[in-house]
Amino acid sequence: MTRECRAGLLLVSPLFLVLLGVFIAPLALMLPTSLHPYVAGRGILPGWTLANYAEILLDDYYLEVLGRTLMLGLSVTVLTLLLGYPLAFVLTRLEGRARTLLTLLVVFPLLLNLVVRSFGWITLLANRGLLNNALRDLGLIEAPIRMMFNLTGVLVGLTHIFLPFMVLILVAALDAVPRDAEAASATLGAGPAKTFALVTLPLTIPGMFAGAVLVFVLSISALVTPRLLGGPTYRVMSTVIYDAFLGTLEWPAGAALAFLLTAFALAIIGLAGMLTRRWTVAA
Amino acid sequence: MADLVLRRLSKRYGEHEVVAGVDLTVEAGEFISLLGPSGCGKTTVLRMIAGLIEPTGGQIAIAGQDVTRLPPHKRYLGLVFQSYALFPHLSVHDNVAFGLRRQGVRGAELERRVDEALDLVRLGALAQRMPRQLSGGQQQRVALARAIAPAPRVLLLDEPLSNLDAQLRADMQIDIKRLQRELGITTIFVTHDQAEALSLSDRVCVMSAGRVQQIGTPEDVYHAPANGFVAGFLGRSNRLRGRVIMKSADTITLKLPDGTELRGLGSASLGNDAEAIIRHEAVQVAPDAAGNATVVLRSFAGANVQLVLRLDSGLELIAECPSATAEAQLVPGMRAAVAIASDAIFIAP
Repeated sequence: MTRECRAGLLLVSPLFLVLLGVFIAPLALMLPTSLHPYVAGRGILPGWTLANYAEILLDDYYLEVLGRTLMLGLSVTVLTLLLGYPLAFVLTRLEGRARTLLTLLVVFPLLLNLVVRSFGWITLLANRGLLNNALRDLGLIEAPIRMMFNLTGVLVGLTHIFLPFMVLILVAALDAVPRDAEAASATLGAGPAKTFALVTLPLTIPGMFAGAVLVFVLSISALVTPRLLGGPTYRVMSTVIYDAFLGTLEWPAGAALAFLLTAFALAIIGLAGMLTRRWTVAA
Repeated sequence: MADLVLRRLSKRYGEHEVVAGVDLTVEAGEFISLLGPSGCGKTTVLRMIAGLIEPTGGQIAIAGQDVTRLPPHKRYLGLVFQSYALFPHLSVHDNVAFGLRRQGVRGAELERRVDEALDLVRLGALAQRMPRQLSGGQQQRVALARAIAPAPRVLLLDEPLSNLDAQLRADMQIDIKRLQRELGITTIFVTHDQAEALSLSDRVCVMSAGRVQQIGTPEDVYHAPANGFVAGFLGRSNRLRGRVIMKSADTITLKLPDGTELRGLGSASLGNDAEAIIRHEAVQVAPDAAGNATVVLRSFAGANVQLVLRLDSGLELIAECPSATAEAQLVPGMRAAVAIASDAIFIAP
């Protein structure tokens, strides 16, 4: 083993030990749990079975929630990307005080408690919320538009909450694009739009991918916002898992749901990574 | 015919004037260097010509057309950056094709002109490589090919050699010169390296503090500096402070603190302090046991030898002589006769 290798191992070992304790160990405990049979009233029984997984994969309700969660994750990712990119672009073109100020504004929502931010959206989006009242007072609508306890509410809330993460990652990616490369593109006859499409955008693809993965993972595992803005009717995987563990105490089913969600998320991220790489190479 | 004309070009950032009214006329096919220390405004001038920095005053005309307010992509210039600035996501071929594609060149014509440009920089075999797979020298060659492929009206080079090691730099100098002659392309070369500027250029424009100090052939600026800055910046010089005691139509006499009197060319006011600037190679040394100086140090630098001499008056001078000469064989402790021709002394305030 070389010196660098030993030094590297030493440097990562504190983090590795923490992960071993709080991430890998619980995971190792949950995997067997998801393979035990569960009977209402008697609890978790000894013996091994794949029934928990089969039940989920054969159940329309669970499949619907799973699909809904993944679609929600993708929608939030695309929305934060579309909203975040222009913002990050403007931010990287600013200098000095203006840049500090805008960065602070982007980060500011993160300083507020998650429950408060989600509740803020309730006061805006509820049937008797600010938005519906305003529209009704203006005579634009008769009955309130339903914007809560459905996709709209959760989508708005999650997009708002995860936008700062996307913007910060995109700012780092845009900052890494050499300004001279953009200047070179301009002197070679490419106008601002062409320079963006041919130089800036392709060079930020890895950053866009990193931001997308982060927001996607955070979105499908978010609990508080779907709970508050989705309510009891619009349920996603995280709320179903939460109820299985803490509501009905069906740990095996909850664990199986969690592992399935992780497996699907990994598959989607892997596929996206492959497509991104192919796209980057082809460009 | 004048190809590029700068009139009273200036750039100011707040209170700080980076470029203060630069006038420059470049003839078609001419190779001109902007030479000066870092921070003298030479790169700012180049970037204003390219359209990457907007001037606060003055005018830029290319081939008779006023381009002062034109965006960079409509100026049809080639720019080579110090950092190479290749597109890291595109192959060598696509980097070179970039400018041609923007002009609508397609198909066989595109391939022919890309090949032609790459052959000019002798990189034809590496067309399919990515920039990160190339050495620094190769990357700079690609940058050069990319700049000349679309047949720009003017080629702008922004310290293109300063990131390369000495041997590569010498090779690239020859390549650039050869290329510029073959294509007959009007070229502006920004550098802080006087040897580069002198050996490559038809004319050199020496800049300092945002102003043009002198424009002339390399021989002119080296042998007939217009002022103290140019005299001191080019070549390596002894600088001796003294007081002006006599002034005639063409010569100034400077009296140094040790009593030595030096007569030279230049400009300074009678009675004021001034500086005599004497190039190392202008100090003439001859081995002479009855001479007026002692050798203090000798340092061998290949083609040349540097001697530090202490005159009997206490004055110290550095002399440089070809290493094959008799004076170059002097060693510390030996006596020598030192003389300076008055036309090699430049006096400046």
